[in-house]
Parts: sequence; structure tokens; C-alpha cells
Amino acid sequence: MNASGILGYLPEHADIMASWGLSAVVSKTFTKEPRAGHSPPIVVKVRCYSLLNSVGLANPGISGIGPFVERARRYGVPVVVSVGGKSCSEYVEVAEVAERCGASAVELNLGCPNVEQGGLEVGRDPVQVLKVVKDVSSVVKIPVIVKLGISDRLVDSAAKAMEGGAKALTLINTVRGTSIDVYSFKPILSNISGGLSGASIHPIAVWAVYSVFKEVPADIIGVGGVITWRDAAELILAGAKAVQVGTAIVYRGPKVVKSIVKGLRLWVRKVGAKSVTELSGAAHRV
Amino acid sequence: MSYVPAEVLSNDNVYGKYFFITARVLRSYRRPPLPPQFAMVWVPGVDLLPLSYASASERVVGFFYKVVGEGTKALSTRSKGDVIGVSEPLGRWYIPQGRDVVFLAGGAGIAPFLLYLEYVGNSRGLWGVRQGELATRLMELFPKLKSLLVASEDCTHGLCGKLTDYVSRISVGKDTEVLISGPIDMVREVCRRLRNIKVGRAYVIAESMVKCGVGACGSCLIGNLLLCRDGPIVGCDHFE
Repeated sequence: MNASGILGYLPEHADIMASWGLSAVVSKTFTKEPRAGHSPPIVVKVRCYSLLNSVGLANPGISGIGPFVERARRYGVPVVVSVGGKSCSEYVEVAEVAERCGASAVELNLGCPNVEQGGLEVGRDPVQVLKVVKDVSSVVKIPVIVKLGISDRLVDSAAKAMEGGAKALTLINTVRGTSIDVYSFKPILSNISGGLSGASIHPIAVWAVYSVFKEVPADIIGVGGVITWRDAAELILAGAKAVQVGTAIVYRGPKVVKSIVKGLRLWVRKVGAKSVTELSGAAHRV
Repeated sequence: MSYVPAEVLSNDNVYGKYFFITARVLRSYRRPPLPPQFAMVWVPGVDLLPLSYASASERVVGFFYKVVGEGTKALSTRSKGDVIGVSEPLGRWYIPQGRDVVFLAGGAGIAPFLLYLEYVGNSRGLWGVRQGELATRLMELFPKLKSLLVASEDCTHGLCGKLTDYVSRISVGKDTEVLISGPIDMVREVCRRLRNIKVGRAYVIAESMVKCGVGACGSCLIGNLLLCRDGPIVGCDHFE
């Protein structure tokens, strides 16, 4: 599946994403109210197949969920709506709309470093994680996936998310970073800082998945620097049952999705396994 | 989007709100810009602007632009020695080969054609301007521009009137390719009029909606195309 943030808020985006060969489509994060997002520059390529982005959760608000989900569902793959909010009630409201509109699941974005309220601040506080996830899980019947960013309390937050009723975890969100132009002395992003994604954060993502898998019984979706099938395989061995791809689509184009799937198929056969699921967490059994 | 630092060499006020800036990129491009590719031009600390390459030689690039907002206003104040950021060339290049090509431009929409004129021989076309003096001044900087007709609204240069007044009079055939660039209202009107004429192909060059430049934010969507990745050339049918 794609990582939330690559297109995913207009029906036409669903048409484009459907052609990528994804097993599930994940929307951009929807919030209750429309958000214009930050002014450009909002994305900067940094070294090693990595991106800094500070889009600022630009989205049309809850009125955009229906048209996107309706169009994406035509393509016969599960549609996951990424949910953001400034408060528990906003997460609940957006998740309810997503369910009503036919989403297959919601992914609560508790780890985005690009917004001032909500986002990462929620994800790094296990008590708040429990509250948000519990509130949402108690009102929607579709699976609730919780996306967390890296923090020193990640394992605790992950445990609380599962305790609150999450069906799965998405690990990890982008990592806060900055890029400064050395000639003008100015930060390049208009928001100064943004979320780092891509190969630069891959080892962090592998560590996060490995650590949480070890301590928390949860289905994990691994994300962070999946540029080739090897990166996906690492996350699977660390404990992921599925992976998301984002930055690689920007660098290598949408064809990268099929290339990763093909590589994983060959790898599964090569190591004598029957499926990816069989290999999930295999690094812990060595 | 990665930025190549570029040192401003000149930033001339061509006429009124129109400027032509040249800059020397401090790191070579992986691929040189070809028409009608565009760059995201970063005015440090102020804004990021999608601008068509108007000229491109080894390490020196040029952009023709109109001051329309804070970003372009800030760009117009940059002078020799200042540093701006220029992205790698974005979008797909397209150079018609062996065809009858007609350029139709409105105002600052002439920018990509300034580079096209270096690559397409025997080109013809029409450039619509409000003040004829703009055409006179820009032709001094780009002599090849004289191969195009000019329609000026103040009737001081070339034909008298708007570009759209003359679209139906342009000689085109089924082998003609028409490339259009300019303000959205002009583009829509030209595309609508061309639909009634038997023209081989009609394309629009559009880059002004681009925001992130890498195909992620989805704001430059036209139909099912992302201008930053699939553009900047798109069929006229998207604008009718």
C-alpha cells in the first residue's frame, strides 16, 4: 500500500493511484475542516533517496472523504482513510465520516511532525494515545489502524494503542528535520522544519518495527524508506505484515510498487517460505 | 525537489511589470533544460515560483516573468550577485520535429517559446500583449522573437487588438501543431476557437499551478495528469 501523503484527497488522485498496483490505497490525512497547508517550498529532496516535506496536511476537510473513497472503491482494493485532528472529538468525527463513506479502515495519524496541534504530540504521549484510540474504536466498526512517529516512548504508545482497540499499527511516520541553503543561509522549507522520509529513516523504521513487535502483540504495517524490495523485506523480518511505500514513488516513479512486489515474491521463494506472513518477525526467531 | 544554487547575473526590467532574470547555476544540471520544461525558482525565505526556462546555455539559465504577487515581487528585487535556488528541469520536454508549428502566447506566456525559438526552425505564431512596447523591448533581447506576429491591445505594435481576435485567421492545417501558453482565460478561449478549426494538434503549456514539484501534493492536477510530472504540455481538450 502507499504511505499516506502521496496524493490521495481528490477522486482523480484515486484514478492515478489505482494504476500503481497497490494492495490498498491510503488517503492523505483528512481533517474536519479544510486545510490550505503551508506555502511553498513544501517539499525538498535531500540526499540518499530522501525527502523533507512540510505540506501541512493540506486537504479539503471531511467533505472530501466521500468523493475520494467512492472513486477509490471502484478499483476493488481496500481504501484506508488517514484521519487527523486537533482533538479527540475531531478524530472521532472524521473517522465516523470515513466509515459512513465506505472506507475499509481508518488510519489515525498520531505521528505527523508537520502540524502544531495533534499529530506527534499525541503519538508520543501513551495516555493521550489510549484516549484517542479508545474514543475512535468505540464508535466505528471498521478496523482502526494507528500510525505512530518515532519517540522514546514508542513501545508504550504502541501498547496503549492496542489496549485502546487498535487492530494494527503503522510504524513509523516521518522524522522531523530541516534543510538550510548554505548560500542564502535560509531554511528551504517555508515552515522551516518538515518530516524526513525515505532511505535516511529506513534503519529507524526497522528498529521501531523490531522493538514494538518484540514487546507488543500487534499486526504491524512497516513504513519508512522502502525504496527496494530489500527494504520491504527488512521491515517484514523485523515484524511487519505489510509495508507502505511513499518517497520511492517520488524518486523511482509509480512503477516501483510493482518492482517491490515482484522482488518480494522472488525473495519469499528464494528463502524457501510460502508467504510474506510466514516471514513476518522471522528476525526474532534467529 | 532539489535546488541548485544560482547566482544572479542580471535582472532586467524589460517593461512595466515584466522582468528577465539570468543566473549562473553553481552546480551543473544532470540534464540541460529543454523546452517547454520549467523550474521551481526559490526566492530564499520568500516563495517558490514555477517558471518556464526562457533561455538555457551551459550553467546559465534565464526566466522571463511578470510581477504578480509577493514572490515575483521579491524576485524582481534580486540583483547581480544575489543567490536564488533553481530546481532541476521539471516536466517532459517536447520538441516537434518536421512539423508546421504555431506558437500562440499571451503576455508572460511567451516565456517557454523564447527557448523554443532556439530549437524549432521556421516557427511562426502570434504573441498577444497589452502594450506594444513590451514586444519591442523583448525583441531587442531575443531577436528571433521577430519571427512571430504581435497583437497589441494598445495598437502600438503589429496587429491591433487581442490575440483571440486573430486566432481564427491563422493559417493552420491538419499537419499543424499549435502550442499555447498564457493566462488561463486566454488559453480557454483559444482552445475553444481552435476546436472549430481543423488543426492537427493543439497543446497547452501550463506550469503555474505546480506547488511541490515532485508529484506528491496533487495540487497541479488537470484531468488525470499531474502537471509537474506529466506536463507541462497537455492537450487543449483539458482547457475547453
